[in-house]
Amino acid sequence: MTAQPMSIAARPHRPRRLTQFLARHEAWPILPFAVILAAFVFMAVAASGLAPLEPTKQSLLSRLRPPGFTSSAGFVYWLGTDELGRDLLSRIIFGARVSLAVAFLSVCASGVVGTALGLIAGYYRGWVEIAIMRAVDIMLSIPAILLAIITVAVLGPSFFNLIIVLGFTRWPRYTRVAYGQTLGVANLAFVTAAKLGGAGDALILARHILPNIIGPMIVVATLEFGLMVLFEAGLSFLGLGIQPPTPSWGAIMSVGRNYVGTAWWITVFPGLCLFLLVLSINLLGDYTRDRLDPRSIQR
Amino acid sequence: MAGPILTVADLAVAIAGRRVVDGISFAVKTGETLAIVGESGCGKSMTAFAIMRLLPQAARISGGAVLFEGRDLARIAESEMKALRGNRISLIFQEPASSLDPLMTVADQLIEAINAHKPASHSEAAAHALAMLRAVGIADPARRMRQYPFELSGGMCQRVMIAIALACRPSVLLADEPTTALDVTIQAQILELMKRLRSETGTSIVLITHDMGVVADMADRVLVMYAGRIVEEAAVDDLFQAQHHPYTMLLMRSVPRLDAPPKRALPVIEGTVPSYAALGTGCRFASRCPFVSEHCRAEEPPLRQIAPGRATACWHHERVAAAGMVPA
Repeated sequence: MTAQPMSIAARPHRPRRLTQFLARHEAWPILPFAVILAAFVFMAVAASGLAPLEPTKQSLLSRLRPPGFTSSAGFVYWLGTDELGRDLLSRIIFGARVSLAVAFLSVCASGVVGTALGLIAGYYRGWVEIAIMRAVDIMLSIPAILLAIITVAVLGPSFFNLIIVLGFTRWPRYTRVAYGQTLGVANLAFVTAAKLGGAGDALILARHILPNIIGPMIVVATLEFGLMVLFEAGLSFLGLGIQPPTPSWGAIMSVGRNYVGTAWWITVFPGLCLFLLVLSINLLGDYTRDRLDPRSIQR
Repeated sequence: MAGPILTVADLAVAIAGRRVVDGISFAVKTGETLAIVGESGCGKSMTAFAIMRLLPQAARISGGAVLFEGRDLARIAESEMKALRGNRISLIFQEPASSLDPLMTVADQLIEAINAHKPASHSEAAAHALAMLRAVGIADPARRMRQYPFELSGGMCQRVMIAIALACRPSVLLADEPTTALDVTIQAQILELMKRLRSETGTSIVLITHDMGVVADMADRVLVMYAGRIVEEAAVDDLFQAQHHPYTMLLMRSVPRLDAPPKRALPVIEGTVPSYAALGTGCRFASRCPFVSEHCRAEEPPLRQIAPGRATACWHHERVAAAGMVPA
């Protein structure tokens, strides 16, 4: 027997301090990814301070220069330049802002709408439930990327349309989970007890049911967040998302594809960033799920 | 005692067209404790939930009236009902642990119930909540106020539930098996508490239970239900003295007795409650009844008054009562 017995009951329910949290061994493997995510968030927030150059500033004389290229003025392009001579590092830093903003806003939009519909379907049942859940089934049977392409074709590509498209295609995920959770919670005695206390439906949903299902909803949201970053990159890669000259990792890679034989760095660095960001989000999402659902720790 | 505070007349509850509660009538006087007894699934809880208009979605009140403070609770608008529920007429549940929201402190839940009917400032409501916790015998109420339900024991949760149910001083309290989930010592404490609160506040109690010991301890009058109908009604002492319905008699015999010889098999009522789909024209207890006759299978006996305050739904009640006198 080399496995160490792990006492679940002995662990504190909620760590009071960060040091206490870090002292627990199972927090260690996740730490580098938390740092990576924090770095990307910092990059996005402080993009204008961090980027060495304007992300849209062209310099046609120094097109497609490799990483480490130094201009005649002594400026070092650490990640090289793109096909219009723009600094790739600056574009990637600003691209983080686009990626995270789109992902965050679309998760908010689809999460709020989806959770609300799931709560309503699970609480009121009857024809409302049938209408909402059949709509969910229909939405989930349509290929998401196809739906996104059609919606963008109708609305036209822009930052806000992208968020609307992502919100519109992703809400059923939240609705399914919220619906299932609400069904479980709505029949518990404390909900009837709240009715007994004279509480109305809105108060019961907001004060008693929503807080009791918020854990699973947060887990869905974290996993969706990673997916949204990929979706934004994918749609931008296809030319349906963020439009040039605004820097987006997907759009940068899309252009870089044409030069991949001569200027590999244009595709590789945004791709690497995308990979690291989505990986850290997904791993942190899994970790959150394990923390919120004590049963899955033992599996 | 004055006239009845709550009158239930010919109440019926249907689930998918089947009457699971059928023709229930009773009256509760001020300060009285009425017990409703019967085995699981006989419609006791459905009756309570119907009175409170908190029936599950599949069930609905299909007939009858519930008269309370001059209004018919079965017919008034939901908004009117909301004003009465938990305020003038209240309910405590079987499962104390799941009756409290796991994510709210005791104080928040009590204050929410108080504010729903008697809006007050936060400090007033909190003071009232504290007083209620003290009244239901919770030690160190100020500390308990800040705790979450998982930090409380089952008996403590039930005390909190009682505090919530009584916070607005209802004139009728329905208690749906309030002690079933608790162990016997806690059970005794909760019953003692309910008795004390009844004498202090004059609240009428409708006590739903399957425990004859609880009935003997608490009730003034008893209704015995079987398969959705009342089969016998009597004052508690009269009922324990002599049973006029075979179901009541067999129910009493199936209670373990301290004076019975040890290791003797406990008498049971043979068979099971008929499914509501299979109910025929005759008496619902006919298939399990030792006194059954042709008459019973052909025609359902109505609930008839046989003495003041005493009624039974059996064609052979005299024979049953006589048989009950002979020790089994």
